[in-house]
Amino acid sequence: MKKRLATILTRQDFWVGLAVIAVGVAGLLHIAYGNWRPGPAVGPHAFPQMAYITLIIAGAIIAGGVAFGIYDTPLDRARGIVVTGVAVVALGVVMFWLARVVGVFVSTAATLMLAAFVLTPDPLRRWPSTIVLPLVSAAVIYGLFVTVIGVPISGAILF
Amino acid sequence: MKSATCGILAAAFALGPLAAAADSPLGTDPIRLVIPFGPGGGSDITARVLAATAPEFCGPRIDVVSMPGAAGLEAVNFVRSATPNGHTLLVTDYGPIVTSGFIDEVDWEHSDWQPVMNFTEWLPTVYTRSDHDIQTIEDWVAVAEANPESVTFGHASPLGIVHLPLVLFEMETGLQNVHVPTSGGGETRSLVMGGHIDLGMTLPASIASEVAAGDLTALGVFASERSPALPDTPTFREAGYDVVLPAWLMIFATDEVPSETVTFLQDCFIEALASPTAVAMSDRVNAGISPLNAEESMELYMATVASIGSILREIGEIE
Amino acid sequence: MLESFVEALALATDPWVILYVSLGVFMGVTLGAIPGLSGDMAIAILLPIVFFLEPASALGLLTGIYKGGMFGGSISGISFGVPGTPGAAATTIDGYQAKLRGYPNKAMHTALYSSVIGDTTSDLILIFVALPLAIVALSFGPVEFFALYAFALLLISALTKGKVAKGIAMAALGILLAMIGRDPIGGSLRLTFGIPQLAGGLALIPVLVGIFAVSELILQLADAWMRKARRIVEDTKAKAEGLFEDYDAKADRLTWREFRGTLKATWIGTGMGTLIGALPGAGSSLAAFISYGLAQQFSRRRQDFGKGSLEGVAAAEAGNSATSGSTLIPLFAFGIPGSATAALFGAAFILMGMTPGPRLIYDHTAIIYALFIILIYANLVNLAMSKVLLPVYSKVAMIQSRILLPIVCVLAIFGTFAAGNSVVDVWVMLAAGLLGVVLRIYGFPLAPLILGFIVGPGAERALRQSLLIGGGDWMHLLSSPIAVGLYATAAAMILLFTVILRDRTQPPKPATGKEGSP
Repeated sequence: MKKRLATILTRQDFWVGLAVIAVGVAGLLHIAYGNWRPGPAVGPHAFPQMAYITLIIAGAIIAGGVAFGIYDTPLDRARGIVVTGVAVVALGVVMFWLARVVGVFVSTAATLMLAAFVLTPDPLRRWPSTIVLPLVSAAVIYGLFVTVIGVPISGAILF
Repeated sequence: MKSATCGILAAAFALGPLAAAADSPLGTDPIRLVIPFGPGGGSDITARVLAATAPEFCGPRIDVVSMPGAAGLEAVNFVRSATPNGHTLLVTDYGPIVTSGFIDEVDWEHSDWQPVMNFTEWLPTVYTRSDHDIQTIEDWVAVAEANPESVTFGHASPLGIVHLPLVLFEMETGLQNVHVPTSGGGETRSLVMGGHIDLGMTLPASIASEVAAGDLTALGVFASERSPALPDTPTFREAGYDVVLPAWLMIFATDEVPSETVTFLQDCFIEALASPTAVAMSDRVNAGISPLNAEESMELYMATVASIGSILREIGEIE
Repeated sequence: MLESFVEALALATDPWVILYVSLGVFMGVTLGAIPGLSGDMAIAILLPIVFFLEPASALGLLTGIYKGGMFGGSISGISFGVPGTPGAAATTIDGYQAKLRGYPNKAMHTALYSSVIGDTTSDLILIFVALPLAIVALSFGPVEFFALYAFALLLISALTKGKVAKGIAMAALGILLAMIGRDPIGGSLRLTFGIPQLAGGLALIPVLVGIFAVSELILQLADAWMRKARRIVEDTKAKAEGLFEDYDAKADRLTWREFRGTLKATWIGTGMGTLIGALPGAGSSLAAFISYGLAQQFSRRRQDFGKGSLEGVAAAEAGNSATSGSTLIPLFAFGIPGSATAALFGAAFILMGMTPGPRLIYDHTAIIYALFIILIYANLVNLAMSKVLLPVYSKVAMIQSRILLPIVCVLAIFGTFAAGNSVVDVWVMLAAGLLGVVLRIYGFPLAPLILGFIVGPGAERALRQSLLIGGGDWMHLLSSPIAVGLYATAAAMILLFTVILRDRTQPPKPATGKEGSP
């Protein structure tokens, strides 16, 4: 019995279930103690409340399911994915911010080249796909979004 | 592949008027008319009439940019933070600028804006199906007096331009109706026509043809004079209720834009809208454009700020 | 009558009009394939040309864009798991799995054929039975809509690949994300946590592109990066240009048998799409999800759904495309724009000096008949053009990921920005991308989240409107036969599929889910 409990605690989905429950409970507390104004009909808090309760129930089923051997095996490459995710999002933020400072073409070309260099083995030897292609793509993106669609990115010092 | 698309798209755009007056004080950078709503609505269509006709008079190309984000506040903030050179202007009704200025957390005051011109005044209109029991303002008042909270009334977003007149009317008369917020004019229409609610509020252009065909009845307009699009519909004032709350569509610049730029824009916009092309277009799209200059617009703007402020204070939305 | 038809035919088959339709389809397919950009956006941008083109040419161009965009979204959905448009979200579920299993071409052709079948049927219904269907659509008030949304939520189980609890949690999360911003009924702010930019709520496109597309791209980028790190270089089997991976195009042809096998799903999608499209405000992504869910319930091979089922692709894509004709029904019948696209077409009519509504067809008979003819043959243009474009785009999709993925990422960022001209949307999209990655790592299915996000606000508005109209009486929700019918169908389906059909579809299945990866 004790051993079984110990295995449950090692299962990722048990903790996932608890996390889902925690989100639901936090939400219900926010509804109970937060600054929610009343509104017509069931009020603005009714649907979120229902969603939080659903989360708690679903979380309980996920966590409880572990005891019955229902769980997903964790991804072995999770860490790499999270690192990539943070990197991609950070790069996206920087690129979009730069687009408004130095211009869409420059920032896009720089980003694409950086990505190509990071992802391509021996990037300099493959210069057509790591240097030329990013420049061409950036030009196309500039043409599509800035010239044709006219997105309101203004005030850039370059183009 | 993609560049071919660009070429074709660009060719399609070249059909637009690109002729620019060479010596415009505004240079050649395009003017952006930013609207705080999605594309396809009345503001969009009206702004496009100006965008299509004004380049000839003002110089640069004019783009209509739709920014519906954050309930329109994103458009307001975009114009607010743009370089104050008259190239970025806000085209809006009073919702995102007057009402939001009161109830939302914004880092600007109403006095931080100066009108360039006013396109038109939209007259909020109460309507229903033509086979509904309520067919006049008097019918409505009688039913609402006999049974308070029995009449269901559909309107787009709360405290918007087709809701506040109802609030004001109820404040004046003490009547009580059930307010049913909808996602917009389209949903209000389908709820009214499907018999799910009793009354709805909209702007005249969108129901004029159904009213003429006898499918819908317009009860009354919240204005001092009748709407040209609905000449047979009385105003609430005629019925004895002094409730007037028209919704204008104004072009705003921030107060940092130099006054000579604003004057130049005002002059060339009004000149453009008086051109035969613009008049024909305005008639075709039923926009009812009758421009007011910057000074008159300012008066209207300040009056609206005062009246909306007092309504919002009365119903306890603001202090 | 005949006279105006001949006149309309002459208008619609003018070579210039045909050219504009083809141009529109080409633009629609291409732009639709870019995440964030959709046919709607292209129509909005091109709206001013209505001032400068002949009405038939302008309507031809807009119709072409619309139809092309409807299908174009599924190209990137199938190729990269990155739906190009909201409507293609459901197509992506099985379409991308099909690509991973080596038959992207089959999936794309299934999508194309079902899209064209659904679209054409929907157009015919618009032309010949608009009025009766419009009256049905009008009878949908808040009470009926709430029942429909509740029914839609029931289909979550179809989107969960056996992870029902996690799927339900995701639907709840989707509903919560959709609640951010101003309460549509009371007007007060909720769940914005003091961030004024969130006052308007989260828009569908950034959330969809973030949750589905960005997270998928991150996963693939992680693979590409690890490939480099482990020096499993493609040198050995690199082709001349080194751009394309190995791919056997001959084995990946849609056979007549396979096509016939998807027809049932296509018709389910077509029926649901046409019906839901006609309801003001319901939308094409909802139609696609409901079609997908229903086709799965009625399929003989339901175990294949979620694993690259062509039926899944067909149902979703037919459901998506079948809204395109019927969404114009409320506009023609009553002047009510039932969707963003219908609003744009309505604006186009207004810009041409024609008022949308029942009088439209009498006052402007020739041009409206011409539009009807264009609607029909634009589908054939779409079919032909896409047949030409598909091999090209499939080849593009097979470009090595190290080159293609960053470009798709950049396109997604600018596409999302262009869709709403909103900087906040870009940040929301990137944040949603990270959220999507975390959820995938912990084995949560993402489609229910999008379903919750789409259904949540509508369901809330409908419920609260119903209660307002019914004076706070919950029994008012049962006051409509349509609503009661929907609830009864839902109950019957639960019974049918959980109790009776359970034995059929429960082959010995290991209790431990092996599907750790998304």
